Amino acid sequence: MKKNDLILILLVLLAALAFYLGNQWINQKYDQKILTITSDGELVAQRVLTEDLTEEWLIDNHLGYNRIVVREGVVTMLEADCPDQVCVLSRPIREPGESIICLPHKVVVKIEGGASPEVDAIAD
Amino acid sequence: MRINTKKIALIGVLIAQAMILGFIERLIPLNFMVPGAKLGLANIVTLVSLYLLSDKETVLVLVGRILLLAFLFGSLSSLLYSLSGGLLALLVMGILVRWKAISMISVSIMGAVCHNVGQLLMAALVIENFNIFYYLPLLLAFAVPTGIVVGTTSRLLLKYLQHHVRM
Repeated sequence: MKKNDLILILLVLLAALAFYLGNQWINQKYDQKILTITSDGELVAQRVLTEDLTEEWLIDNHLGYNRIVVREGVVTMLEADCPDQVCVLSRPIREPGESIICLPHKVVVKIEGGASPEVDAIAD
Repeated sequence: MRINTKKIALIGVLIAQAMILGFIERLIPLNFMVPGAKLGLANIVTLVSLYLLSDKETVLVLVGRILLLAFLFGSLSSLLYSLSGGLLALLVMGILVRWKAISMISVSIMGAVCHNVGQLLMAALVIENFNIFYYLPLLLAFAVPTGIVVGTTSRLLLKYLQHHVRM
């Protein structure tokens, strides 16, 4: 291994850190958390994610099914019949900027930060 | 492209090797650590091909392996991801091997990085959602250790082949 290799390794790790912190930074300011679930590009559900939100969805599109559960503000991909099971093994999400994605079934579960509608109403 | 019998045989052997490595990789699940992460063992063969063969011949080795593995175990969508990741990785590695200031380990790491980026780009196009890049930081960090393993193995294999295979 040459010295340049170590520099390159450092750059790759720094890039990883920068992307991670960048995502955190973009999502640090929010009034409420918005949970959005899409299946094959179509909106399935959009909710304000609160600590007491408990809901379950069974998404059954032409590619397969995914069962998504929200319990006490934590979103989990409970099960899916996709071949790779990457989405089921993904860790549960609860903060803006986090996602669970089932690539084979084109299902995207994401949490974003949003401004609360009351604030917008006053600004208008 | 001037190609002799020995070259054809060598390309065939390299494709076979890459297929076996690709198959072995399916038996080692790393998904529980990082979603979508792989060791990238088949990249050992691509990397060695870059040094042993011409660019066009290396493209043959890469595309041959990807097509055959996709027909055997994959699907149309996995073929799409393999091709986008594999070709972007090959393009960047093909440029970097000419740069003498870095060793095979760097070439291998950048190959792993570009493979991930290529796949994420294709995935983002398929699901029409760029949220998939959420996984990029973890995949980038993971590309370093796997890239080092693949690069080191490739260097050893290349040394051996250059001693024992006369072109």
